[in-house]
Amino acid sequence: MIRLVALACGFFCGIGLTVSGLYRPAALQNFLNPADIWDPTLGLALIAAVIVAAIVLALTRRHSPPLLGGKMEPVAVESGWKPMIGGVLFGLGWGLAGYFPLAAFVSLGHFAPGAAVFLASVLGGMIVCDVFAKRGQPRHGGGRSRG
Amino acid sequence: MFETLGPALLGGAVIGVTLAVLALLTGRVVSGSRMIGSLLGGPEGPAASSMAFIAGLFIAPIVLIAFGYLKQVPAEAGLPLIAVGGVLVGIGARLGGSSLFGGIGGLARGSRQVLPGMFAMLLGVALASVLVFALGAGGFT
Repeated sequence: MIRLVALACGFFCGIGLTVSGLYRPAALQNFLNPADIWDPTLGLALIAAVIVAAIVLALTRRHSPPLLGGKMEPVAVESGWKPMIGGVLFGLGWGLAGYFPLAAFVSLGHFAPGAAVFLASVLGGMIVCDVFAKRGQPRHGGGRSRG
Repeated sequence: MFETLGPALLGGAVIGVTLAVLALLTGRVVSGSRMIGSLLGGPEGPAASSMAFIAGLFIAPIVLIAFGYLKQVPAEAGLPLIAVGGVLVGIGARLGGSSLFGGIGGLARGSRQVLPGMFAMLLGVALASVLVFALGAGGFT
């Protein structure tokens, strides 16, 4: 059941990313480019997402634990300097590539070749990070062949 | 610029509902990097529901295309730049446990813990835009 819910949420999230245009690498570039043609899509869509999610969570009084079992995943898994460095690297990579992981999955559904390259690179980056951090041996990277 | 306003708000609202529903029912955070991370055996959550979520993301545009909603492959940066960016995103997400939508979900839950990561991300994006400008490597609009 949890998997079914995850599938449905993934589907609707993909619809939302597509309809809003957030999946396009150009969404970030146009947002950062006020001189030329400023396109507020990125900011508006993200703000709308935060507000709507906050309203729904507030109305339902944030059931904890989750209704289908399991436990609430923490929103911040690291603390101290790691989120800062990680955030800068993430933002840098996002700005250079134009993709963030969710957008790349949706763009893969649009058969965009760069999205496959991006996802393979993300996986590679994570594996590199794991190797250096010795966070345990990563499992076989099945995602590499995707797309 | 105003023709994208309605779809942006509508799409954002749909995303917001999925963030809330996934959190309420399964407790999971909608975040591409965490989903990928959990496939690598990270502590983020069960790999099976990550795969299901990713499958949903992948299917959505295909269904929309089948119904004639969309027509185009998005314009992209050059593949080498995308590869470099992807590695940076991977390292950043794994190191900091932060991601764009992880932060969005955190804000919606009223968490202040995600703020440093989000501000750092803005800084990174600003750095990237300076770099892209300096390299003259942009222009995928």
